[in-house]
Amino acid sequence: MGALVLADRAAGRAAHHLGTLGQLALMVLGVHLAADRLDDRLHAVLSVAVHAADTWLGPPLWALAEAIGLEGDALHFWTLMPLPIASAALALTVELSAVAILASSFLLTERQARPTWQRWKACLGLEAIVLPLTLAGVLVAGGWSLAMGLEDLLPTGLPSQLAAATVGIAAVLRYGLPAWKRTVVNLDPPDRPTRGLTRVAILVPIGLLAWMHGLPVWGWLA
Amino acid sequence: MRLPISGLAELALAALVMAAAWTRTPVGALGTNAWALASGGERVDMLAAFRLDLGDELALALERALSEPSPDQVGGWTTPWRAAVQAQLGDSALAEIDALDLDDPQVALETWVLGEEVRDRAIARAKAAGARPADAFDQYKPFLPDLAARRAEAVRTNVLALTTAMDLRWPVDPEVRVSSPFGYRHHPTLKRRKFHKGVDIAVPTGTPIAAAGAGRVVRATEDKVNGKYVIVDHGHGVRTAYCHGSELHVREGQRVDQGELVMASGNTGRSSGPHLHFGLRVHGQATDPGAFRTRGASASGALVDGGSAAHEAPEPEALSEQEDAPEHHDEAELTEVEHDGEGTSDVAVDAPDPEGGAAEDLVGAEEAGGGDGGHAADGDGPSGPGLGDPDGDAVERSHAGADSGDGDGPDAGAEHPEEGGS
Repeated sequence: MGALVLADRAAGRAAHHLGTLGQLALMVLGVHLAADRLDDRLHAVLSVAVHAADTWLGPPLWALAEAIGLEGDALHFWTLMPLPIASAALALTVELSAVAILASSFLLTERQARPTWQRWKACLGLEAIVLPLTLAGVLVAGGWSLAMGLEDLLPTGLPSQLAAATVGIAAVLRYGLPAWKRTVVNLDPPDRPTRGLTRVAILVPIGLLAWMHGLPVWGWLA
Repeated sequence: MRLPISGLAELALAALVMAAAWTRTPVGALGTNAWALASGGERVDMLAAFRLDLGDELALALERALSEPSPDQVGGWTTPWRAAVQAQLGDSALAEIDALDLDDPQVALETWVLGEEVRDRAIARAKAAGARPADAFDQYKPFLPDLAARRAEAVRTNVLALTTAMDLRWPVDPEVRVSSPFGYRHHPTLKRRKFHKGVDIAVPTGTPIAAAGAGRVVRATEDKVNGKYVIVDHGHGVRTAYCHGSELHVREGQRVDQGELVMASGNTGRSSGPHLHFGLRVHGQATDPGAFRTRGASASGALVDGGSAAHEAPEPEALSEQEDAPEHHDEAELTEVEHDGEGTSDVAVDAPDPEGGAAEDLVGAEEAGGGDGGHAADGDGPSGPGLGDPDGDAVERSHAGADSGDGDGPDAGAEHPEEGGS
């Protein structure tokens, strides 16, 4: 018993030091879930855009270079990169940017943050709304992503589902909630109305998609 | 209250979250690559977390499918879909899929690949996330385990492509001689071995050329290499090309039915004699159209009246004269990348003499196995599942590097005419 207690205490201390990394990992999982869906949408938008460009600017050469031999100078520049790669690269860029923005919002703050309503109102601005909302969706999506990954590893059945759901919820409570609090505490009062516009532009699609596809509740609500 | 193992549980939770992020996200891949850079280890593709890179899997599966005995030699299939499953997965898989006794063959295929539990679980997740329709593959795919999603995507993509390809017909009378087959040949003007990515069919000028399958015309124009030519996108990564025509009868963007007149053959472009260059691409990979020739009859047997075009087509010369059609030298596709001759499809024919020999052998082999109409003559069933997939998009997208399709390919299946039309 003594050995178990000692091991538990050592593990607890290690876990405590890993807390920030756990928060970061949960956020990364959630952002990726959203970015994966962003990729699908970017691909659809790019397809329409390229088709329109082909129609307006010249013959529809997209995808024809591989269909039949054509003179090299007849190729438009956009045929050089396949659309799936282009959309995935764009989504990856947005994902990494969002991770950097969200991580910087809580990594450098104190770990035992206690946000207050008054403090949040004092910081009210575009970022003060978008950042907490995005992070909330992303962290819950991260918990669900973790639960799904775990469920896939376990034998099918109700116990596995319950265990996976428990782990997902525990991760959100243990890592998600503190990360969210740290972010809210770390908000700064806006010195101008457009403060953080670029960051918000990156976070909005990720946040929207995390809320839309990362929360396993919409099916039940519908 | 603190549990006696709360520290261990917390550590396990931290390890689980970090392991998941490390193995399932591009940020983890970034970390892996940084580590690899420092330690000289193996780097990973950061885009792999987004894309199921099926390039190799598709190529291998296609090669295997085409190198297997022709399904009509094996017997037992009645629709292009069954033929595609049999060619792709084998007899036992087809039997297992049949044993599932599911009405929708597409669902049966997905269930067979994924297993009922995994598929149901992913659909339940998609439902919970509000995806509609949750049981559509593209909707529940994001909720599958990575490996299962990869395998299902590969099988589905290949079966749909093969189903589409196996439903194609020969664009002219199948009795007409193939003067230069698919594969390596000695190029008559370049004076060197070169890979011929299609077949040349010795038809005289003015012969009506029929669409090999339903689809959308993505190209109907002229250039100095291919002459007047038409490319039809049949969906699911399958495209056919018809080159060196004398007159085009379709316009870009037009949808065509199988058997519909697309052009009249000719001798335009870099060609030294009247003929049709007929090319087939499956997921961007040049494929021997002859491999599918025995599976269906001619699309031109009963040209679909696509308006007045068919009636305006010039009368072809008599069939007997086709035997005397001048030999030609197809110079199309001069800009194609030359292959090394190794590791190409098993069906590729090495034809050192384009004016005889191997070409005639190929025709002879086809005549021996063809002419029976194959499944097309059966007219006993639908043309297969999944071809009505409203988006065909996932198929092309999954093949990120090889197929640069724009994802708006035609819904080939929705337009497939009734079988037996040929």
